[in-house]
Amino acid sequence: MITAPVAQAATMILKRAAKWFVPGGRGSCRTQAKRFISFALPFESQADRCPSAARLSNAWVHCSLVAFSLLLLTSPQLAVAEDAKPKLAIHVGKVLTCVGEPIIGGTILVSEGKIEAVGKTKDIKVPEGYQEFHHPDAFAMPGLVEAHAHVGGSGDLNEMVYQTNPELRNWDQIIPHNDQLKNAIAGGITTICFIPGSGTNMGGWGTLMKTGPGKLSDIIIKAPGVLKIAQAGNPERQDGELGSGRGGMNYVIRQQLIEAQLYVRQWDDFKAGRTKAEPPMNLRLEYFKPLFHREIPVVVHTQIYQVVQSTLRILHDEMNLKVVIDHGTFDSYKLTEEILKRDIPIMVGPRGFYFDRDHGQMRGIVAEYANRNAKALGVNTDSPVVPQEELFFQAAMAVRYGWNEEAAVRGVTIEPAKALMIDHRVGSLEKGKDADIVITTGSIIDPRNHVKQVFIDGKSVYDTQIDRRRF
Amino acid sequence: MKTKTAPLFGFLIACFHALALPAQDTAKPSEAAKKPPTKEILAIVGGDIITVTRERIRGGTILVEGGKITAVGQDVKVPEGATTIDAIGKTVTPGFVAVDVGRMGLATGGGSSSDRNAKVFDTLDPFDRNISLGLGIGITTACVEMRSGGSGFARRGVSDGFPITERFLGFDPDLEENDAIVETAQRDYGPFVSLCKCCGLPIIPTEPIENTPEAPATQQKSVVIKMSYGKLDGMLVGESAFLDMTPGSMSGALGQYSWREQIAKAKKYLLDQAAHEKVIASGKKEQPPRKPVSDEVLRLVKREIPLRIAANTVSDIRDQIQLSKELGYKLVLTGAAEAWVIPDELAEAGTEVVYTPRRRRAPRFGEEQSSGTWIEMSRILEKTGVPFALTALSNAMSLDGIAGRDLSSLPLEAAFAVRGGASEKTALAALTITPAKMLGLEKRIGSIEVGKDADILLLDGNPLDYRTYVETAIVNGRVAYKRAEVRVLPVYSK
Repeated sequence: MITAPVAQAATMILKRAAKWFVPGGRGSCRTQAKRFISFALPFESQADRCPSAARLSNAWVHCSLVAFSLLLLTSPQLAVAEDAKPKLAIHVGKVLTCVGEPIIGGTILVSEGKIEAVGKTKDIKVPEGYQEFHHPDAFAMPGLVEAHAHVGGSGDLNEMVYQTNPELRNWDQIIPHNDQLKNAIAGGITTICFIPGSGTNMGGWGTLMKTGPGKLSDIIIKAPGVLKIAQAGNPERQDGELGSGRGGMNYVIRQQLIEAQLYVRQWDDFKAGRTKAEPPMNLRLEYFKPLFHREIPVVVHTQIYQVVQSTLRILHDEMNLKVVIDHGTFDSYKLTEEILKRDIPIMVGPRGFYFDRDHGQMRGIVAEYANRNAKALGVNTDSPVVPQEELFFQAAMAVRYGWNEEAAVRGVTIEPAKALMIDHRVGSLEKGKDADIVITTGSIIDPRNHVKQVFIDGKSVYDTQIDRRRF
Repeated sequence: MKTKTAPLFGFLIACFHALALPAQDTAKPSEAAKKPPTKEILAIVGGDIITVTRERIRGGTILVEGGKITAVGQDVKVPEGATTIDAIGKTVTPGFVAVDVGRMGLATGGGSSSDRNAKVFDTLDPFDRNISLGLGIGITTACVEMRSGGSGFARRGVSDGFPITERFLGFDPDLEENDAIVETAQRDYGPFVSLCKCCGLPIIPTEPIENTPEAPATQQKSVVIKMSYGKLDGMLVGESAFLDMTPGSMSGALGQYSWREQIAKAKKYLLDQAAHEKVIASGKKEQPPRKPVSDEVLRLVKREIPLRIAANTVSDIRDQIQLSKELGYKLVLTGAAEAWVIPDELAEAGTEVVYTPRRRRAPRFGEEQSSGTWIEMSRILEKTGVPFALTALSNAMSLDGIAGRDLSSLPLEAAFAVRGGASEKTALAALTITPAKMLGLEKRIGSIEVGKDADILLLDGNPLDYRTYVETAIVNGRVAYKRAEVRVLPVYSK
């Protein structure tokens, strides 16, 4: 959900900052708001210092947007190894691969930033020249994957001139390895789905990216990675304007998607030789191509029964999109049967609980989904609403309220990776996948345990034996 | 247990009758027979008892009589007629002590001022739903602020379900309503909080470390209550366990001067009072000296209660330590974000700390290694021997705290203390005996020992495991909470 930076920065704060944050404050409302924003979003000030961000903005000046975006479209895997990636052998007490049974006494071999082998220590022969890490009392697990984050870069997540904004993309805002991402790594998170806010019904295109250091080209997994749609709540307008209610909001979403669908069809027809005249390029609609080709999903800020129903009907049934129920909270679990019919993954958060009036008691939302046999199930933080590093804690809460612990480990790794359609790269410890490995003192679901070391793309990016502990 | 009680009841009366008869006035046997037994015996049998102050007892029995613990051990025999609670397979711990519950709906009359003449007892509502919420997370004793409060989410729910659902059923973008919610959230969580408008969660940004602004030297009043749901008797334990001062009241030269002056006046008054008593004792008449300060300040000077004050930066902490050493009173620091930077100074001065391991404050620019909060503070304080009690992220007791990031849980904070490197023993003590000592109630609460109040939890696992639930909470020897019946928390079989 967009709300944190967006609603704060854009609407609430501008209106009320002076009143809220500086009683009897000096200066104008706008100044106060600015002051607040710069404290709340510490990375904003770093934009100037960040070389890759600067390089990116130069690139903006020199290249045309189109060329850049086409480049990204045609080569989704931008990662180019520049530094020599070391060969590693990591020995641990237990490996949670997140596919199949855990391995007691396991070893992971890494080379060229990828996992070369995973298995029992006794079965794996470490070739010469491998740097060895010994964590005999620790667990290894895949890096955590966050399905709904707003902390990947500067806080300008919402531009709200139009009701739908498919012309916007957020990889121009990324600040690699910013302070919040550093903390995220200390919480074991190695991949995030960095998305625009929900200030409007269609916030724009999000990026699937790693949390570690590096150039933009090193850390981006997929851009565009997802489309962000918000079907209710934050994007609601003032009374009387189109979009002040769910009728209007769903109209503008459908209107935009149908326009885009026609555009993509025109291009598909042209590419397939069914039409001769090349259609005019429309920057506003260009990224809908991978969306309608079902190569990337739409992550939908949808919650509560009624809105999730619209999500299923409009985005899945009518538009035939790959849909992820993101930020799915409240009583949406009552729709599980319908969701399962359509094979749609569900990510729950940040609010994990719902008071069920019919039965007069609190319910854990994830547990309720699980009880109804949902398997493609995970949690998300909506950082910074919940701090990014507390993704594990969203799962811990869900377990406290009745979810199965094994499912919870999957729900912060492979399930969000599958939902975001990047499970060929991240989400489990398997041969050929990115070497994003988290070493913990025990099950990450237990808050008493902590992260000891993190590898991203085969490089150690956090090691509590060397670095000061961050979380 | 209730079902067991009924058939046992008659038998119990008979037992008592038999026992008590010789001591009774034999001329009035009929009256004695009518009189219900004043002391019922409760036996908690077979649990794995974590006493906190002594050894752990596996498969032990606890006997409770008259609200007090009368026996603990493996060889304790259950007397005939005792009401038995089966604790086999359960972990048994003392109830948790929350030293810093700002508001939990004490004053039912509303209003925001802490009228110094108000009688606390008159404001207590033993049926307040917030009490059940507190018991659900193990709190049996709480030091609460003497003013109206709680965010009201749970309290108003007694008659018409939990209003939280009305508010957050879906979205309520109505701005006026949001303003009110935000105001409540800010009151509960601090001025930097805003409320997520789509999910209703409080957004708690990392707080900047700033010097405390000056404020008038106002005293706040707190009281200690037992969470004896449904029973007013024994609910109020005591008033003013601390002298609470607003954080800004001692910052700046003028603030510190007026504080020194107050203490000097109090000391002089105590001397005058002693002299006056001598004069009176010798039979002469004399006007008593005028009391220049509040009773709490006098008790502070007599070292009966500590000063409790928030201090977060190293500089603010040092100021407080310096004043406490110079003026000779006991000091409990709350907040204490940067206490890990100067643990030796705290240990040397005997200063105690109340803090929240999950709270994070950003370091100052350029001082990343020596400012802000640090997860390893628990380890450092334990190693240095600084006693610390834990308090939750939100000091308001309400459903809002449970539904969001679990802002109200004490055991969760203890789990984070373990994450930071403290031992499980110290972390559990930080919920029980350490805060009990801070409140001056270590003879009554904070551990399972003979003679102490029977405030006991039956848990379905290790108290510091986040998956663990309080199944039954006993307060003053009486069952005050049963998870399966109260249902303020999800009920499911593991």
